Amino acid sequence: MREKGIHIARLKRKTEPEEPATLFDVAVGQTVWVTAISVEDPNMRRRLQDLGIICGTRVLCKQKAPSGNPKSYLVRGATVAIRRDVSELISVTTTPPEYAEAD
Amino acid sequence: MRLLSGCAGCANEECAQRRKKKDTAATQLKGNRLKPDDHVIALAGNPNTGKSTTFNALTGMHQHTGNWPGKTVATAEGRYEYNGKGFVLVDLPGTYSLLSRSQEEEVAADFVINGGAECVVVVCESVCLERNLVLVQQVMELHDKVIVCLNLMDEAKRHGISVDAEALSESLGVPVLLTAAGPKWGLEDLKQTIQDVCEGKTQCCCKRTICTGDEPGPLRMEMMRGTSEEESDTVAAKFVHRAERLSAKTVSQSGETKAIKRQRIMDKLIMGKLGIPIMLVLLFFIFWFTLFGADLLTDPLQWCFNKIYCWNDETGMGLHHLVTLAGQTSWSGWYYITTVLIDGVYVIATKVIAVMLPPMAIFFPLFTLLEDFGYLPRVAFRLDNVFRKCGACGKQSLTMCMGFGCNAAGVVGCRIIDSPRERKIAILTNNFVPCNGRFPTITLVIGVMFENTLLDSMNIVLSSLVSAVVLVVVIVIGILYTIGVSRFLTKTILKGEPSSFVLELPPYRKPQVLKVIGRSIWDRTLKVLYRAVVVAAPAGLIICILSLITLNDGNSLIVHIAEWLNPVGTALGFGGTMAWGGVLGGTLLIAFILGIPANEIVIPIAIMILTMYAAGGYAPMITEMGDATIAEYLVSAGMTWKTCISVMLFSLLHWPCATTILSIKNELNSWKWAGVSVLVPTLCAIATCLILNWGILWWIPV
Repeated sequence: MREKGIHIARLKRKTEPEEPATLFDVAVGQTVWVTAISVEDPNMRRRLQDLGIICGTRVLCKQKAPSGNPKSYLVRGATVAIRRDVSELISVTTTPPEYAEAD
Repeated sequence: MRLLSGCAGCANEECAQRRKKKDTAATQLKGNRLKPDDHVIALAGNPNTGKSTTFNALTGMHQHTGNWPGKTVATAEGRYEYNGKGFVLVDLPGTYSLLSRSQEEEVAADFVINGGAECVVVVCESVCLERNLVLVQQVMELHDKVIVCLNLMDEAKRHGISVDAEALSESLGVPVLLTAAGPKWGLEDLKQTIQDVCEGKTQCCCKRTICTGDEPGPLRMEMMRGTSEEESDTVAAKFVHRAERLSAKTVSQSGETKAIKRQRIMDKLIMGKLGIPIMLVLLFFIFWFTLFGADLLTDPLQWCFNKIYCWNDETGMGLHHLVTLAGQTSWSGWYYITTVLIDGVYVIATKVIAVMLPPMAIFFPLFTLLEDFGYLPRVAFRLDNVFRKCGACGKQSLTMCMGFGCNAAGVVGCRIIDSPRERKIAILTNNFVPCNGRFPTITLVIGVMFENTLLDSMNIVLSSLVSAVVLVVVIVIGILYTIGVSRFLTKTILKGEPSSFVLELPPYRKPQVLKVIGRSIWDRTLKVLYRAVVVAAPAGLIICILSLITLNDGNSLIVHIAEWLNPVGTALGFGGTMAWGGVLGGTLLIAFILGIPANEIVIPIAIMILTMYAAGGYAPMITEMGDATIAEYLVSAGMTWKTCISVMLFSLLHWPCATTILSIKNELNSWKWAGVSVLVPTLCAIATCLILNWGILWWIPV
C-alpha cells in the first residue's frame, strides 16, 4: 500500500507544474507574466498599477498563507500579499512577452 | 466609478464625510512658517521607505516610526535651520501614488499642488527603486522643484544593490541623492541640495511624460487620471514602463549576498510550517514577560506611593496625616476638601499609575520591536483568512494584539485598515481582548477562585500552571467573541463583502533596540501620566464624594447605590453571602460602573465599599493590600467560584473604559458609533452572564 502511495505522489509531481490561468493559480516559486487585468473596482486597479502590476509584468509567487489565501508575490523588488478575489482576476502566462521599447 | 467622478459636489453622505476628513487633514498641513523667509519643503514617498526616519533625522523630532507600511497616518511638521536659513519640513502620508482616491493620497496630492511647498523631496527605497520611481514621476508632473532621495542605501548595500545616481539624475532632470537616514549618511548633502534648489542655485528641469508644465495643477491631475478607464491605464503603463527602463539602466545587483540569504532563512522560519508555533511562542513570551515584569515593578512603585500617603502610623507623617490634621480644625470643610483630594484623587491616580505604567512600559517596547523587525505584516498575512471569513481584515489581528496592551491604543491602531467598514468592525470589537488594565482584575479573580480549594494547598508550580491555563481560556474566549461579533456585525449593522486589499510585506530589518526601548518607554510613561491626571483623578474625586456623602441611616451614598443595584448584580451572578451583612452583587456592579474611567480600579473600589460595610461608615481606599490578602478578603466577603467566573467574564466582555470610548469617538468622528461601541460589549457581557448563571451555574451546587 505504501509503495503505491509513493508512486502516486511521484506521478502527481511529474504532471506539475500546470499552466496557471490566473495569478491565484500560480504555484509557490513559479514565475509568470501578467497578460490581462480584469479588476473592476477602479481603486483596486489603480493600486495594482501603483505597485507596478500591469500587462507584461513579471511576477514570482513567493509564499502562501496556511489556507492558501492570500498569497504573496514578488513584484519589481517588493513583496505584496494579494487576496484571492483580486488575484483571480489577473490572467497570467508562463511565457515571457516579447517587447522592447526605447527610452 | 462613482468615486472617480464628480466627487466634489455629490451629496452622498459617505463622500461628504470623506471630504470633510480630507479637509481637516489638509488644514493640519499648512507648512507654518516661523519666519517669513522660511522655505517650506514637502516630504513625499512610498510607505515604509524611511520617510519618518528621514524626517526625524532632519528635524531632530521624534515621530513614531516602524517597519510597517502606512505608519504615518497623521501628518507632521518640523523645522530645522541650515546655513542660517529656516526650513519647514512637512511629512506627507506615505503613498504609492497620488492618483487614487484614498484619503492619504488626496491629502498628499493636494499639498503637492496647492500646499505652497517650494520643493518636494521624494524619499525612495533603493531596494525596490523601480516601484518608487512611479511616484517620483507623478510628483515631477505636478511640481517643478523635485529632489529624489534614495534612502536605505545601507540596506541596499547589504543586498548588493548599487544605483548610478548620476545617470538617474540625468534621465529625470532632477537632483538625486543617496542617503541612509538610520545611520545618518548623506543628510548634510541633502540639506545642502534642498537649500540650493530652493534658492535656485541648482536647477530642476523635470523631464515629464504627460504634462507640459504649463497647465494648472488640478488639470494636470485630471490628465494623469485620464477621463476613461483605457486612458488611465495607458498613462499608468507609461509611468511603469519608464520606471522599468530607468531602473534597468541605473540599478545593478551583484549576486546573492549574505543579507539576501538571511532574509530567505527568516522567511522560511516565519512563513514556513514552524510559523504558527513561533508566533504562539512569541505572543506567549510577550504576555508572560509583561505580566511577570509588571508584577515586579508594580509593588515597589505602589510602596513608594504608599509611603508618601502614610510614612509611618506612629509619627503620622505623610499625606494622610494632613487629613487627620484637617479633621481637627474648626471648619469641617477642610476635612472634606483634604479627604477628597488625598483619599480620592491622590490614591486613585497613583493606583492607576502603579498598575498601568509597568505593563505598558514593557508591552509596547516589545511590540514596537516586532513592528520594526517587520514581523507584524506577516502575522496579518497568515491570519487573514480567518478574518476574511467574518468579513473583516487580516490587519485586525494586529490591532487586537495592540489591544492586549491598551484598547485605546488598539482603537487608534485600526487606522492601518483601509476599508471604513472593516475598520469600524475592528474598532467595535477591540474591547473583547483584555487590556493591561483588566489583566490584574482577571488574574486576581483567578486567585480568589482557587482560594481555599484543593489547589491552594498544592505546590506553587502546579497552582500557577492551572491559573495560567485559566487565563489562557479567558483570552481565547475573548478572541472567540471578537471573531463571532465581527461576523455578527458583518451580517447585521455593518453589512458588506470583505474588501480586497493589498498588503506589502517589507523586508526584515534589524530594529534599533535601544532607541526603540528608550523612546517607547518615554512615550508610554507620558501617556499613562496624562491619563492618570485627566481620567483617573476626576474619577477619584467622584468616588470619594459618593462615599463621603452619608444619608440619614449613617451609610454613605455609594453603599445605598450598591444596595439599590444589588438585584441586577445578583442576576448577573455577582451575588454572595457576606459575613458582615453587605451586598456583594451590588458592590461589584457599582465597582464596574465606577471603574469606567479606568478598569484597573474596579477591584480597589469593590474592596473600599466592602470595608465601608465592615466599618459602618466612611472608610478610605486601602492601598497596601497584597494580592493574596485581597483574595482572602473577597472570599470572606462571599465570593465563590461561581461568582468568580461571572466576574471574570463580565470584566472580559463589559463596556470599554472612558479613554477607549473617547478614542473611538475621535477615530470615527461620531458619538453614535461611540455609543454602539459601548452597547455591543455591554449587551454581550449581560447576555453571557445571564445565560451562564441561569442556564448552567444555577443548576450546579456550590
